[in-house]
Amino acid sequence: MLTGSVQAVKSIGKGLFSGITGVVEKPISGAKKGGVGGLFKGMYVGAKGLAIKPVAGVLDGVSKLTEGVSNTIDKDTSLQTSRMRFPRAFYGKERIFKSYNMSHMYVMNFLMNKNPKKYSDLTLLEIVFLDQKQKNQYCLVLTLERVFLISMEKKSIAWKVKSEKMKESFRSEDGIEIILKKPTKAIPVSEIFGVIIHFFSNKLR
Amino acid sequence: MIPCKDSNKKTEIYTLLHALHEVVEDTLEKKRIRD
Repeated sequence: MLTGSVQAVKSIGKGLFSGITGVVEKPISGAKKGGVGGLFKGMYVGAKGLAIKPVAGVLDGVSKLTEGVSNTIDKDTSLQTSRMRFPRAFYGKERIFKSYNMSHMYVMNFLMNKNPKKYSDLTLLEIVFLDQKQKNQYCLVLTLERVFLISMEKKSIAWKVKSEKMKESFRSEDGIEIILKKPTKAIPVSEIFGVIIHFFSNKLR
Repeated sequence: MIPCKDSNKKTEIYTLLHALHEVVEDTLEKKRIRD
Protein backbone atom coordinates (compact mmCIF):
# COMPACT_ATOMS: atom_id res chain seq x y z
CA MET A 1 0.00 0.00 0.00
CA LEU A 2 2.93 2.32 0.76
CA THR A 3 4.33 1.85 -2.75
CA GLY A 4 0.89 2.52 -4.20
CA SER A 5 0.55 5.75 -2.16
CA VAL A 6 4.00 6.97 -3.25
CA GLN A 7 3.20 6.26 -6.89
CA ALA A 8 -0.17 8.01 -6.51
CA VAL A 9 1.49 11.17 -5.16
CA LYS A 10 4.09 10.99 -7.93
CA SER A 11 1.40 10.72 -10.64
CA ILE A 12 -0.57 13.70 -9.26
CA GLY A 13 2.62 15.77 -8.94
CA LYS A 14 3.73 14.81 -12.43
CA GLY A 15 0.32 15.75 -13.88
CA LEU A 16 0.29 19.14 -12.14
CA PHE A 17 3.91 19.90 -13.09
CA SER A 18 3.40 18.89 -16.71
CA GLY A 19 0.18 20.95 -16.92
CA ILE A 20 1.76 24.11 -15.49
CA THR A 21 5.04 23.93 -17.42
CA GLY A 22 3.09 23.23 -20.62
CA VAL A 23 1.48 26.70 -20.41
CA VAL A 24 4.94 28.27 -20.81
CA GLU A 25 6.75 25.62 -22.87
CA LYS A 26 4.14 24.93 -25.55
CA PRO A 27 3.78 28.58 -26.79
CA ILE A 28 7.60 28.97 -26.88
CA SER A 29 8.14 25.75 -28.84
CA GLY A 30 5.13 26.64 -31.05
CA ALA A 31 6.54 30.12 -31.77
CA LYS A 32 9.93 28.63 -32.62
CA LYS A 33 8.39 26.23 -35.14
CA GLY A 34 5.52 28.26 -36.62
CA GLY A 35 6.00 31.95 -35.69
CA VAL A 36 2.92 33.90 -34.53
CA GLY A 37 0.53 31.14 -35.67
CA GLY A 38 2.60 28.57 -33.81
CA LEU A 39 2.60 30.80 -30.69
CA PHE A 40 -1.22 30.88 -30.59
CA LYS A 41 -1.41 27.18 -31.35
CA GLY A 42 1.09 26.53 -28.53
CA MET A 43 -0.95 28.72 -26.13
CA TYR A 44 -4.08 26.71 -26.99
CA VAL A 45 -2.30 23.37 -26.46
CA GLY A 46 -0.75 24.64 -23.21
CA ALA A 47 -4.13 25.84 -21.83
CA LYS A 48 -5.73 22.52 -22.77
CA GLY A 49 -2.89 20.66 -21.05
CA LEU A 50 -3.32 22.79 -17.89
CA ALA A 51 -6.92 21.63 -17.62
CA ILE A 52 -6.45 18.00 -18.65
CA LYS A 53 -3.03 16.90 -17.30
CA PRO A 54 -3.69 17.47 -13.56
CA VAL A 55 -7.02 15.62 -13.87
CA ALA A 56 -5.27 12.75 -15.67
CA GLY A 57 -2.60 12.77 -12.97
CA VAL A 58 -5.22 12.58 -10.20
CA LEU A 59 -7.02 9.71 -11.95
CA ASP A 60 -3.74 7.87 -12.44
CA GLY A 61 -2.92 8.50 -8.76
CA VAL A 62 -6.27 7.06 -7.62
CA SER A 63 -5.68 4.00 -9.80
CA LYS A 64 -2.21 3.45 -8.25
CA LEU A 65 -3.58 3.94 -4.75
CA THR A 66 -6.41 1.42 -5.20
CA GLU A 67 -3.94 -1.03 -6.73
CA GLY A 68 -1.78 -0.67 -3.62
CA VAL A 69 -4.78 -1.20 -1.29
CA SER A 70 -5.86 -4.25 -3.29
CA ASN A 71 -2.37 -5.77 -3.05
CA THR A 72 -2.30 -5.18 0.72
CA ILE A 73 -5.67 -6.91 1.21
CA ASP A 74 -4.54 -9.89 -0.88
CA LYS A 75 -1.35 -10.16 1.18
CA ASP A 76 -3.28 -9.97 4.49
CA THR A 77 -5.69 -12.72 3.40
CA SER A 78 -2.83 -15.11 2.71
CA LEU A 79 -1.34 -14.38 6.15
CA GLN A 80 -4.58 -15.22 7.94
CA THR A 81 -4.66 -18.75 6.55
CA SER A 82 -1.97 -19.98 8.93
CA ARG A 83 -2.32 -19.70 12.70
CA MET A 84 0.37 -17.73 14.48
CA ARG A 85 0.07 -19.70 17.73
CA PHE A 86 -2.11 -22.32 19.41
CA PRO A 87 -5.39 -21.15 20.94
CA ARG A 88 -5.19 -20.10 24.57
CA ALA A 89 -6.50 -22.46 27.26
CA PHE A 90 -8.14 -21.28 30.45
CA TYR A 91 -7.66 -22.98 33.77
CA GLY A 92 -10.19 -24.55 36.11
CA LYS A 93 -13.97 -24.30 36.32
CA GLU A 94 -13.62 -20.55 36.72
CA ARG A 95 -11.65 -20.48 33.45
CA ILE A 96 -8.79 -18.55 34.99
CA PHE A 97 -6.66 -16.49 32.63
CA LYS A 98 -2.93 -17.20 33.01
CA SER A 99 0.06 -15.99 31.03
CA TYR A 100 0.39 -17.79 27.70
CA ASN A 101 2.32 -21.02 28.04
CA MET A 102 3.38 -22.40 24.67
CA SER A 103 4.02 -25.97 25.94
CA HIS A 104 0.63 -26.13 27.69
CA MET A 105 -1.16 -24.91 24.58
CA TYR A 106 0.77 -27.37 22.43
CA VAL A 107 -0.34 -30.29 24.62
CA MET A 108 -3.97 -29.13 24.75
CA ASN A 109 -4.00 -28.65 20.98
CA PHE A 110 -2.55 -32.16 20.58
CA LEU A 111 -5.40 -33.63 22.67
CA MET A 112 -8.02 -31.61 20.85
CA ASN A 113 -6.77 -32.85 17.47
CA LYS A 114 -6.61 -36.41 18.78
CA ASN A 115 -10.30 -36.52 19.63
CA PRO A 116 -12.16 -33.26 19.05
CA LYS A 117 -15.48 -34.68 20.28
CA LYS A 118 -14.17 -35.88 23.64
CA TYR A 119 -11.29 -33.53 24.37
CA SER A 120 -12.35 -30.11 23.14
CA ASP A 121 -14.24 -29.29 26.34
CA LEU A 122 -11.73 -30.45 28.93
CA THR A 123 -11.36 -28.30 32.02
CA LEU A 124 -7.60 -27.91 32.26
CA LEU A 125 -6.16 -27.73 35.77
CA GLU A 126 -2.43 -28.23 35.30
CA ILE A 127 0.18 -29.79 33.04
CA VAL A 128 3.35 -31.21 34.55
CA PHE A 129 6.36 -32.15 32.45
CA LEU A 130 8.11 -35.15 33.97
CA ASP A 131 11.84 -35.85 34.27
CA GLN A 132 13.56 -34.45 31.21
CA LYS A 133 16.56 -36.74 31.65
CA GLN A 134 14.46 -39.77 30.77
CA LYS A 135 14.78 -41.18 27.27
CA ASN A 136 11.11 -40.73 26.57
CA GLN A 137 9.73 -37.57 28.07
CA TYR A 138 6.22 -37.62 29.45
CA CYS A 139 3.81 -34.99 30.52
CA LEU A 140 0.93 -35.35 32.89
CA VAL A 141 -2.24 -33.50 31.99
CA LEU A 142 -4.67 -32.97 34.82
CA THR A 143 -8.16 -31.99 33.82
CA LEU A 144 -11.33 -32.08 35.85
CA GLU A 145 -12.69 -34.82 33.58
CA ARG A 146 -9.63 -36.97 32.85
CA VAL A 147 -5.97 -37.45 33.66
CA PHE A 148 -3.63 -38.13 30.75
CA LEU A 149 -0.04 -39.31 30.56
CA ILE A 150 1.32 -38.19 27.21
CA SER A 151 4.51 -39.40 25.59
CA MET A 152 6.09 -36.33 24.07
CA GLU A 153 8.52 -38.33 21.95
CA LYS A 154 5.91 -40.65 20.44
CA LYS A 155 3.28 -37.93 20.39
CA SER A 156 0.75 -40.36 21.80
CA ILE A 157 -1.37 -40.87 24.90
CA ALA A 158 0.39 -43.45 27.09
CA TRP A 159 -2.70 -43.83 29.26
CA LYS A 160 -5.74 -41.89 30.29
CA VAL A 161 -8.24 -42.29 33.07
CA LYS A 162 -11.43 -40.56 34.09
CA SER A 163 -10.79 -38.45 37.17
CA GLU A 164 -13.85 -39.83 38.95
CA LYS A 165 -12.47 -43.36 38.63
CA MET A 166 -9.38 -42.60 40.69
CA LYS A 167 -9.47 -43.81 44.25
CA GLU A 168 -6.12 -42.78 45.62
CA SER A 169 -2.51 -42.23 44.67
CA PHE A 170 0.75 -42.86 46.46
CA ARG A 171 4.43 -42.25 45.95
CA SER A 172 6.65 -45.15 44.97
CA GLU A 173 10.32 -45.36 44.07
CA ASP A 174 9.73 -44.94 40.34
CA GLY A 175 7.00 -42.36 40.48
CA ILE A 176 3.38 -42.04 41.51
CA GLU A 177 0.96 -44.93 41.41
CA ILE A 178 -2.75 -44.42 41.04
CA ILE A 179 -5.29 -46.86 42.43
CA LEU A 180 -8.62 -46.98 40.67
CA LYS A 181 -12.00 -47.50 42.30
CA LYS A 182 -12.92 -50.36 39.99
CA PRO A 183 -10.88 -52.73 37.84
CA THR A 184 -10.41 -51.44 34.35
CA LYS A 185 -9.45 -52.82 30.97
CA ALA A 186 -5.81 -53.10 29.97
CA ILE A 187 -4.00 -49.82 29.98
CA PRO A 188 -1.00 -49.43 27.71
CA VAL A 189 2.13 -48.82 29.70
CA SER A 190 5.38 -47.06 29.10
CA GLU A 191 8.03 -49.21 27.52
CA ILE A 192 10.88 -47.73 29.50
CA PHE A 193 9.86 -49.67 32.59
CA GLY A 194 9.13 -52.89 30.73
CA VAL A 195 5.91 -53.32 32.67
CA ILE A 196 3.58 -56.06 31.50
CA ILE A 197 0.05 -54.94 30.73
CA HIS A 198 -2.19 -55.93 33.59
CA PHE A 199 -5.60 -57.04 32.49
CA PHE A 200 -8.42 -56.03 34.78
CA SER A 201 -6.02 -54.56 37.24
CA ASN A 202 -7.19 -51.71 39.34
CA LYS A 203 -3.68 -50.34 39.49
CA LEU A 204 -2.87 -47.78 36.84
CA ARG A 205 0.64 -48.62 35.67
CA MET B 1 2.12 -45.32 37.14
CA ILE B 2 3.37 -41.82 36.54
CA PRO B 3 7.09 -42.25 35.87
CA CYS B 4 9.01 -39.69 37.90
CA LYS B 5 12.21 -39.95 39.95
CA ASP B 6 12.55 -36.34 40.99
CA SER B 7 11.23 -36.19 44.55
CA ASN B 8 10.16 -32.52 44.32
CA LYS B 9 8.19 -33.21 41.18
CA LYS B 10 6.74 -36.32 42.78
CA THR B 11 5.47 -34.20 45.66
CA GLU B 12 4.04 -31.66 43.23
CA ILE B 13 2.19 -34.34 41.26
CA TYR B 14 0.99 -36.06 44.41
CA THR B 15 -0.41 -32.77 45.75
CA LEU B 16 -2.11 -32.02 42.44
CA LEU B 17 -3.66 -35.48 42.21
CA HIS B 18 -4.81 -35.25 45.78
CA ALA B 19 -6.42 -31.87 45.12
CA LEU B 20 -8.06 -33.17 41.95
CA HIS B 21 -9.37 -36.19 43.81
CA GLU B 22 -10.88 -33.97 46.51
CA VAL B 23 -12.57 -31.70 43.96
CA VAL B 24 -13.95 -34.63 41.98
CA GLU B 25 -15.20 -36.41 45.11
CA ASP B 26 -16.81 -33.20 46.33
CA THR B 27 -18.58 -32.73 42.98
CA LEU B 28 -19.77 -36.35 42.98
CA GLU B 29 -21.03 -36.02 46.56
CA LYS B 30 -22.98 -32.86 45.69
CA LYS B 31 -24.42 -34.62 42.67
CA ARG B 32 -25.47 -37.61 44.82
CA ILE B 33 -27.22 -35.29 47.32
CA ARG B 34 -28.94 -33.35 44.55
CA ASP B 35 -30.21 -36.55 42.90
